Amino acid sequence: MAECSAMRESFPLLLTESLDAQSRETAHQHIESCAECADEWQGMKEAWRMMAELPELEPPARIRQRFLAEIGVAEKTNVIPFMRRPAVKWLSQAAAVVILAGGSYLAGHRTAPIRLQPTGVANVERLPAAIQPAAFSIAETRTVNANNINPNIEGRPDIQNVQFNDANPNDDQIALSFDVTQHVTVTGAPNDKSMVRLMAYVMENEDQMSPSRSRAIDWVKQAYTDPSNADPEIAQALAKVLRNDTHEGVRIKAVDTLKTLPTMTLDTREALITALKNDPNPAVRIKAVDALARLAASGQLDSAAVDTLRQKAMQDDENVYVRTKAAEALGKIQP
Amino acid sequence: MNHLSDQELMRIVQAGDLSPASEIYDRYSGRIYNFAFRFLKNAEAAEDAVQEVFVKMIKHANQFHGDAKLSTWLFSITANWCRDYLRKADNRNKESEEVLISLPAPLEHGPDRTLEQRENEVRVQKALQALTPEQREAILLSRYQGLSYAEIAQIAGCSEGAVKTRVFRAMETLKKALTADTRGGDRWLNAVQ
Amino acid sequence: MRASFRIGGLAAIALLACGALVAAPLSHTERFVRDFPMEAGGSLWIENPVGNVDVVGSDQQGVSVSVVKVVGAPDAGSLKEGREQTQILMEGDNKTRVIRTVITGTHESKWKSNVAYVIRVPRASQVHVKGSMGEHIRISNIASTVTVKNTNGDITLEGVGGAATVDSANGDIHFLSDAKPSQPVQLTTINGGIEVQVSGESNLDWIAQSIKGDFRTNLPVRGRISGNAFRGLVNNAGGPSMTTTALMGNIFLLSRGGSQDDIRSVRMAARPTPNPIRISPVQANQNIAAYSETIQTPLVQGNFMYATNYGNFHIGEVRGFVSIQTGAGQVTLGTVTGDCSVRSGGGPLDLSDIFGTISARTEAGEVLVRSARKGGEIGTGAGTLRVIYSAGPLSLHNGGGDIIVNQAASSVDAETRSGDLSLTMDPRLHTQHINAKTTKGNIILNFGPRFGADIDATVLTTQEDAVGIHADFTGLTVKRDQVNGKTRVHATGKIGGGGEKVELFAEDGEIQIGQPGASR
Repeated sequence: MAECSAMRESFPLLLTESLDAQSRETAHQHIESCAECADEWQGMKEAWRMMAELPELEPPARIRQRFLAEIGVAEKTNVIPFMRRPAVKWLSQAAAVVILAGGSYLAGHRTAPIRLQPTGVANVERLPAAIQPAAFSIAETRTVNANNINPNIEGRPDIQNVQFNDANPNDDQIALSFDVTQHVTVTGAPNDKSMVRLMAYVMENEDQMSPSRSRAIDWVKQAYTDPSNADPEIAQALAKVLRNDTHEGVRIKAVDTLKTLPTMTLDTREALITALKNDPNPAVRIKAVDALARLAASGQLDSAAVDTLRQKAMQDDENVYVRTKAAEALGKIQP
Repeated sequence: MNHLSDQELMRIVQAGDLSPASEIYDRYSGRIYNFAFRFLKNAEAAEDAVQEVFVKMIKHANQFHGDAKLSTWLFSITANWCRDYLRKADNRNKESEEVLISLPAPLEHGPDRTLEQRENEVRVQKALQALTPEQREAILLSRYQGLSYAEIAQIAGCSEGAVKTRVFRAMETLKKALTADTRGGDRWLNAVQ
Repeated sequence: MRASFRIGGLAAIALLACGALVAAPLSHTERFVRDFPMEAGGSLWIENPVGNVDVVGSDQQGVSVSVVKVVGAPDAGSLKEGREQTQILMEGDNKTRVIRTVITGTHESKWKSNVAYVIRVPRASQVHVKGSMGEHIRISNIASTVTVKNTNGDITLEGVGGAATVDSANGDIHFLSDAKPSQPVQLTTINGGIEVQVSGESNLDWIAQSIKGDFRTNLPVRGRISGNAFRGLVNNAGGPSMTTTALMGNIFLLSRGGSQDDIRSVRMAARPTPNPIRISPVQANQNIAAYSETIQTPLVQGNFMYATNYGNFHIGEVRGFVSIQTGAGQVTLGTVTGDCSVRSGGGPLDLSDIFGTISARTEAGEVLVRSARKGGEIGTGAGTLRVIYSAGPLSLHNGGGDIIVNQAASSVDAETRSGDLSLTMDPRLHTQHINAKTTKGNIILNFGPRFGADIDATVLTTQEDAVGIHADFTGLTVKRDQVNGKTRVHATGKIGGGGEKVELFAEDGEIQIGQPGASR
């Protein structure tokens, strides 16, 4: 009924006594004669009454002090400046650290010409003189066994078109292909030093290589989480990626893989602690603290790491989940 | 100072003398603070609101026309500030569950009365949060600050008819939340949030 | 009276207690006592990483230090090394006395040592203790300032009248006093609980903080609770501050000699209506307080709604809809027959089979959805977002991390701020609307042989000669230009005769569009 709905719309005005005498009278008459509206009216009156339960709050005295201070009016009482720690400050500092770290990393690599894609033009003339193809003995052969390669990668070889192949997952052989002056495939066991070095090199320089269809980290996770293939250099390369890569998805993968690796060096521990303190991506921080929790349980954390965990747990503007994970890691500490 | 009217105090400020500032602050800070707090449900933001509103009042004193009501003008500034605050996306989630609680010594007060009071307080706060910002603004100004629809329309920047609708819808929601058998009301509230 | 107040158990602490050492094949115990003069109002500093510290204030003059040093080792050589490398240094003068245990061994040393101190000082002395791994630190009857910093072990301050600061990681803190505190007290522990007992007439400005735990008291308190913190007045204003922070444990503020029956929960007072989840008979038997740490149940017959400050959820099956809000914690759901709404302030989400529409978001953490039968909106502030199968429109949002969809039988709208986007459409699909965007990463889009679409793909990259867009089919027109110093590669065209719009945007990365298994 249109009359009822119009009537009900004016109930709040009835409550605030803002209606003129005539309208008030009309409304009350309607309420007396219409059961549903009477119900509505009762309900609204009750709600109105209950709203009075909200307490009147007293604004803190410091606002007054701040206000008067800001407009320059003298006050007799001591003005205590109210200081808040903005949450944004932590993040912007962290961002600065990441950018700096990323910047210097890139600067270091700009000494060699970096190409993402092969353009089809031979790049022989642009390869830096430091390239030692002889160290790889690849000029003549196309498929090389990792054992036959000098594990020391000298200079900064410009390698392209990197691909990973684990043709037979049941054997212990994996393969890594790339172009240097020719397309080369290096085969070997994951724990051959040359293979380790190559994998680490690819992982660290991947963002300048092509194609980006699959990430070296995925390969590393596949081949190196088996404890028998453990190698601290892989962990170190991952730590470098964690510190330097500007792609957050890549950093997440790096710390995730670090978590699963059986070996941990001092360097990787440092990388995890730095990631926990400074990485702007909370998912990275969550995984970093998970990795540290594992180390805590095996007694590998030093007092600096313990202090970092304590600070993290107590940090008000950190994500609560990261804080509770830090607390859990602390609880696992073995001397 | 406290025998002078709002308009007289503002005239002194407009003339360049800031000494009435504390008197005006004392007259209105409570109302502004309570409005901002109930609207934003965040004590820190409410404090900022009060600060900014009164500073603006002094800095832009010349925008105040002597025949208007100071309260309307102050609430206008406050409502604008609160709307801007909410508009910033990350502020939308900062509503802290600030609940005033009182744990009296065991035998002091009749336990039932205070428990019921506390329960209602929580229910009202939750119900207010279930309103749209426009409805909340309208009902807070009407119910707690006693402003007329004409004044609220001026503050909200809409027509009186729109205010009437907002207040009505707000009361409908509050009625549903506060008066249904208590369990039903809560379940509904929890589902809504 | 000591209320038991631990939530869960602390992780087992490897104790270097004397008892444990006696089990070592060889051990050596040294006991001695040293006395020093101490001026009134002097300070005592103790640093002991490997054992208990007991300090007692007395009316006697001077400092008396009683030491028990125990070294355990598997052989004589290590024992000797252990004894030499565990040194007890006592330095200082009449005003300041410093006592330190210095261990020069390493984690690999074959020996273990433990040093316990019992020290008597004048009551008016300041006491500062730094410990690491011990069973306890106890300080009693001191009228002046006391500070304690420790890692593992319980800490008890009894009858301390001056300002007190205790900072612990894994251990409970007890602050016991018959008097009314007149100086500020600050007690902090991460994985322990806090118990404060003071005179029932004390005036205090009480600040309590905890993520997982509760605040309980039998004193008159008026205050405000907000999220993880409570601030209130005990009795009247004018008293000193009592700041108690037990991140993962409970906090008790009690009147000395008062009744345990009067202890009430501050959190419960703020939330008198309990969460409405009394649905499953399994749950009816569980006493679910508002602050359960883990809500675990195999089956909920009906709807499941829960809101908490901190909580982990492991629910097998819900025969109804789900609405979960947690400030932080893990959420693992098996099957949900209705709609599923999850909001977490931080922590991973693992949703298996959701029959209804999903609305899930965590501020930080991985999200894995195995089957979203009606699609929905899924997001994470940071972390890997993976949907294995979806049969309804998907809207995915990632603040920093990869997005992976293994089999989408529906439209997909996905965006990540920094990460790769890997989308595989259901191979049987003829056409579907796709919108994928990453501002730092690659896009990989795969679909079946029957897929038709109008493709609009853009890559913005700093690599000048980047190909940018790789497609396993022909028919795309590619344009290249420079925009704000970056190379823009824009490819448009139809595939499979055309179809719905497929819009892809990748910045600082590449786009690869293809059919899985097609030759590259």
